[in-house]
Amino acid sequence: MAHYGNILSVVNSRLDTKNKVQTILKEEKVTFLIFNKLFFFESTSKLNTRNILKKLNQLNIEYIFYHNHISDGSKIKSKNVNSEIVNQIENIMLQ
Amino acid sequence: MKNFFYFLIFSLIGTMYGQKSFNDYAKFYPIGDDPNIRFITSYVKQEDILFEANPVLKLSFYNNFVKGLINEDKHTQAWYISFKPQIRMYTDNSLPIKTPSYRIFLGTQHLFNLPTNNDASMKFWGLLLESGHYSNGQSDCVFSEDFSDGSIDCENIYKTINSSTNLSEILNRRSGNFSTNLTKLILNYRTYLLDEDYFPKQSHSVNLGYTLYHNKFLGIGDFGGFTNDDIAIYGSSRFMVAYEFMRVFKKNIKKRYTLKQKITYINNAHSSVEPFRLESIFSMYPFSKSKSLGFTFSYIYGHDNYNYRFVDSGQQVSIGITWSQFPAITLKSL
Repeated sequence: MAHYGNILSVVNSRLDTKNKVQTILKEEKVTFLIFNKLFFFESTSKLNTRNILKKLNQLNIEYIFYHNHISDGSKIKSKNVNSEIVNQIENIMLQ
Repeated sequence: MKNFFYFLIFSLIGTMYGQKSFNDYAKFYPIGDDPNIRFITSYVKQEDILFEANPVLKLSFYNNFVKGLINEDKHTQAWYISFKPQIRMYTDNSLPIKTPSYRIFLGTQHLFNLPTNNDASMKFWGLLLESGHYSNGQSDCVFSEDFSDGSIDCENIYKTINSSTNLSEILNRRSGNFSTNLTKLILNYRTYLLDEDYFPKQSHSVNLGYTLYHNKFLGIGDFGGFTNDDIAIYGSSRFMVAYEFMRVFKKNIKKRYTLKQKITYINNAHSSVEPFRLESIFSMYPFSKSKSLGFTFSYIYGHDNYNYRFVDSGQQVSIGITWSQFPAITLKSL
């Protein structure tokens, strides 16, 4: 079984967002740790990770997501976050 | 010299560290035959083959198959020059390589991602179009070592050929000229079953192909073609149908095997030519660190595919090593 490290940073979240994200991580049976607004979790496959992202997208929240093995060579995925900021983060992570 | 050697080593290391990702450098080609080197038996008693090499050199102008497939792009493609020699060493005195084939093409390949209703499968249809030149670099008469190609004596030999002539028996196997320009079209349909990391665990692939021998290079250049006498023997059209099955047999380290059945048919060749060629190929890719390197075994029935030796027919078996031009790779990202 594969193991992937992931960091999810939720931006401008409402009060119940943390609980909703926690529910998704439990549903997908991943080991996770919550530190302030950062969610660290260990996914077990690409499919497992993709399912989590799909569910996060349905919440319609703003997030930046780091995965340690994105096959297309990028380092982060994001939703509803300013693209200039995402590009800067991508550049920093790729150095 | 020593400094130059160090320069090369440092340049290589610098290039390896400097590359942003593997995807920027990998050039894969999903459609077409894979290169191989193999021991192969002979069709005819007059000569024994020591080994055959089928290298393929493709130089891309543009190729986005790896990155495009991972990104699930609807359309991925490559544009390239392809050089595909075919070399046979024979067991005659001094082990000569006789009448090697040279094929050079301008080519393009395309894959179109078809929608599926689940995350665990992918479907594509694709096409390959290549046009170029195919010859064996020889200058003598095809049916006599004593005369030059195009000489009156050589043309007189052609006039003696009729429908009952056995061309395999009179072929000049040392220096007979073979030359044509050609265009090849292959349509491809393929499906993949993916594992949880989007690595293919099983695939089916079907090819339908048509090759046209024509006189002008790329349809415009008036060189490299054939004579009327030759094309009457070659037959101008070749049809191909092929099916390939791939399965991963060691899940964690992704070792795989492929089974391929390929049938080629020559239309309107000389009556002594066996129109069919059936090739059954089993290949195994046992190296997890080098997924494109494998072992290949094949059984062939029908006409030969070595330039003018297509007039030979019978059975062949081969065993060798091969390099997949489209090894199983992760086909989706997040």
